[in-house]
Amino acid sequence: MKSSSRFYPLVLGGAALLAVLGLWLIISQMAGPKILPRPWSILEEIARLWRTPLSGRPLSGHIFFSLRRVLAAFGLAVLTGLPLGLALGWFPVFRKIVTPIFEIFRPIPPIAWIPIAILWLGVGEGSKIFICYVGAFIILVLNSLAGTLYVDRTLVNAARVFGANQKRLFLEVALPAALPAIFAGLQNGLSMAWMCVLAAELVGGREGVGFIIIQGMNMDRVDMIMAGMAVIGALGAIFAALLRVLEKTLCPYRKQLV
Amino acid sequence: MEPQLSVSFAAPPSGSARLGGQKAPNPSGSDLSGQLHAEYVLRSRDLTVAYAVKGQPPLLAIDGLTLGVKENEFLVILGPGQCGKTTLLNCFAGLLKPNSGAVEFLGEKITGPGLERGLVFQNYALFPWLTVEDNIAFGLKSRKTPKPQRKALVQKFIDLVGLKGFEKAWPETLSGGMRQRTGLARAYAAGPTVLLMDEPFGALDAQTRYAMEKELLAIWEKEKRTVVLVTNNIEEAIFLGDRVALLTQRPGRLKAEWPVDLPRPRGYTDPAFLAFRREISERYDLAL
Repeated sequence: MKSSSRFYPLVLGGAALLAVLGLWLIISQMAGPKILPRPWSILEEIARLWRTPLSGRPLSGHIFFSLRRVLAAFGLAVLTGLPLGLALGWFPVFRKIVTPIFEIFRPIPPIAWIPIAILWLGVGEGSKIFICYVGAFIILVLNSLAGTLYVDRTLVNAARVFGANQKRLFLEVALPAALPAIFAGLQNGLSMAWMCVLAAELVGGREGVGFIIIQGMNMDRVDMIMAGMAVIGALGAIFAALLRVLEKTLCPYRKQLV
Repeated sequence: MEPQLSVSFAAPPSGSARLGGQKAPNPSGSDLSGQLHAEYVLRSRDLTVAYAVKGQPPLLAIDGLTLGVKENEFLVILGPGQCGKTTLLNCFAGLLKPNSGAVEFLGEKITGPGLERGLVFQNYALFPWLTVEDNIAFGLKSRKTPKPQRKALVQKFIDLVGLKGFEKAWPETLSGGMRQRTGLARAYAAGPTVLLMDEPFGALDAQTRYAMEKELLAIWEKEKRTVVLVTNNIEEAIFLGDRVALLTQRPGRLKAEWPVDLPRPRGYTDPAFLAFRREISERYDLAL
C-alpha cells in the first residue's frame, strides 16, 4: 500500500460501486426494464418530471411542497423540542415531573398519528406538518436531554471551582458539552421528518414527492417511483451535509471526528 | 451532581493523630490576628466523610482528620490509593460536604466552591470546547476582570507555564504535560490564595512528571501561594513539600507528618534526598 494507501479506500469504494451498477444492469436485462429500469432511465425520468407537469406541477413544484412541509415541521420541532430536552436534562425536578407523560407518547410511531391528524386537522398542510413535527420532536427532545444529562461531572465541578454561576454552568458548560448529541439529534430528527412527509404524502394529497411515488405505483411505472426515491435521497443528503457544515462551525474542536 | 453522602453518619470516636490541637484563635488580639488567625490558611477539623453505598453501611473515607496548612506553605498529603486524599481535597475545594467536623478557610467554614481556592485536577478537566487561553481565562471571567486586564493576566500565566505559542490550541491536541500546564495556569489565573492539586502529575510518564515537578517548584518560587498537593508517590512528596502529611489506608487518618528540611533545589539522587527517603520508608514501612 505505502504511498497509495490514501487512494486505497477510494479504489475499493469505486470498485464496489461499479459492481453494484453492473449487477443492476444484469438484473435489469434479465427481468426487463418494466420491473427494474436501467440507471439512466431514472435520470431521464427525473428530467421528464422536471419538464412535464404531473397533476399540474413540475418536479420543482412537488419538491417545493415536500420541502416546505419538512422545514416547517423541523423548524417547529427545533424551537420546541430542543429547549424542552435541554430543560429536562438540566432540571432534575422538571425531569421527574415530565418524564412519565413523555414516556406515554414516546413509543408511539409518528406514522400512527396519521389517521388522527387527518381527522383533527383535515387532509391539508396542517396534518402533514403535524406528523413530521411529532417524529422530529421526540428525537430532538431525547437527544438534547441525553446531551445535558450526561455532561461530564468533572467539567461541571471544574466550572464551579472556577466560580461559574448557574447561568454560566448552563451556557458555557452544559450546552457546549451537549452540542454533539444535539447535532446527532438534528440529523436523526431531519431524517425522521423526511420519512414522515413521505408517509403523509402517500396517504393523501395531490402534491409532493411522495405523491409522485404513489402515482408511479398507480401507473405501474417503476422508473417514476425510483425517480421520486432518488430525489428524496438527494434532498436528504444535501440537508445532512448542511448540518455537518454547521456542526463543524459550532464545534471546531471536534475536527478529528468529522 | 456530587457523590451521594449519607447525611446522618455518626462520627466515630476520634483516636487518630492530631496536628497541633490549638483552639480557635482569639480574634480580639488584633496585633496577633495576622499571626494567629491566619496561622492556618486552610484547615480541616475532626473531618469525617462517608459515602453512601447502596445496600451497605456507609463507606468511611475520612475519619476525624485534623490538618492545616500555613500561609505560603507547600503541604503534600501522601497516602496510598483509597486513603481519602481526593475526598479531602474536594472538601477543601467546597465540592463535597463533610458528614461531621469542618473545613475552614482563614477560620471561616467552607460551604461551597470559591475562587480563593483553585483546583488542579488529576485528569486535567479542561473544557474541550475552549482554547488554551479561554480555559485559562475561565476564572477571570467569573471575577468579572475587565477584558484588557484579563488578556494580560492570561498571557502572563501562559508565559509562566511555558505555553507560549499554544494560546489558540484545543486541549485535545495537547500532550498530557501541556494539558496539565494549562490546568495549572487556569488555577493560577483565577487568583487563588490556596492552590489545591489532586495528583496533578499522576497520569504523566516518569520523565515528564519529573520535569513538571521541577517546573511547578520554579513557578511556585516566582508566584508564592499556599499549596496542598495530594500524591501517592513518596519521592514526589519529599521533592516538592515543605511538609508531608501521611494518611492511613481507608479510612483516611493522619498517620504521621514531618517537615522536609532539605534545601531546594532538591534532586532525586542527592545523597541527602535518598537518605531522607530511606529513613521515612523504613520508619513507616512505606513501599510508595
